Amino acid sequence: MATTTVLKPSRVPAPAALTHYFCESWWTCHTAPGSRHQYRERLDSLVSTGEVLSVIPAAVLRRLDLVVMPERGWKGQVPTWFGVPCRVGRVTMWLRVVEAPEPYRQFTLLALLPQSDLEDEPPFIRLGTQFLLEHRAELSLDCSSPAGEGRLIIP
Amino acid sequence: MKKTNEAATFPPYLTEEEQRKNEDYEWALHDPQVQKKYAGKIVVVYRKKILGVGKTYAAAWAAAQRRKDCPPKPLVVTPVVPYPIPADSTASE
Repeated sequence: MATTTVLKPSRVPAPAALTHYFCESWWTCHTAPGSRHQYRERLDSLVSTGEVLSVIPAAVLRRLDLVVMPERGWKGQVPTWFGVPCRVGRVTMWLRVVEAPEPYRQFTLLALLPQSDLEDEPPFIRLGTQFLLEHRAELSLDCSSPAGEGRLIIP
Repeated sequence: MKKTNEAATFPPYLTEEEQRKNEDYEWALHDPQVQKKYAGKIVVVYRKKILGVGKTYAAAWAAAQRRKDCPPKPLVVTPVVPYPIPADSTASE
């Protein structure tokens, strides 16, 4: 069954009307470094169609202590993140969906993992187009006003 | 990279503890006073109380840890406080 995730607008302070779109996201994390125990943590993710691959900034990876699985099928070089060397890995996330009876749907996310932070980098996980393609998602944004929402429909 | 063991299984709904954290997260996103004071910053929240604030996760967490009542990391949430959307959001700013 297809599910719908609502994308909420978030204003960016600027002389022009700038908005980016977030969705409620939960992530599988280690309770502590080296711990086998896992839990879920909420950190909303930013829909970022300008990125080919999803990106988990180093600061976010440290904060969440995400459970990262290797991407064994990855062939070829790993792209850099604005010149910062990266690895690739796969993490587990849950998106809030509007359909009953199960309000959260699990996905895995292939992501670039930069090894260091960029200066003044916004501290968000970015969902890139690879995620949308992998899950054959349909994305729509209501940009008729800064308060307009978006929808991510995933079969 | 952290340990690469398989991810555990979780239910398609929030547990009681996760619901409490979700309420803290939503509170920080939508409370007008929090927005007014901390928009654009990362806050460490526990039971609708701001324990630390910073421009980065590390700074916010370091500030929270200076308090004696700061619980372990898995019990707090660390949202980025959004800037309020103007009431007349149909008009360009």
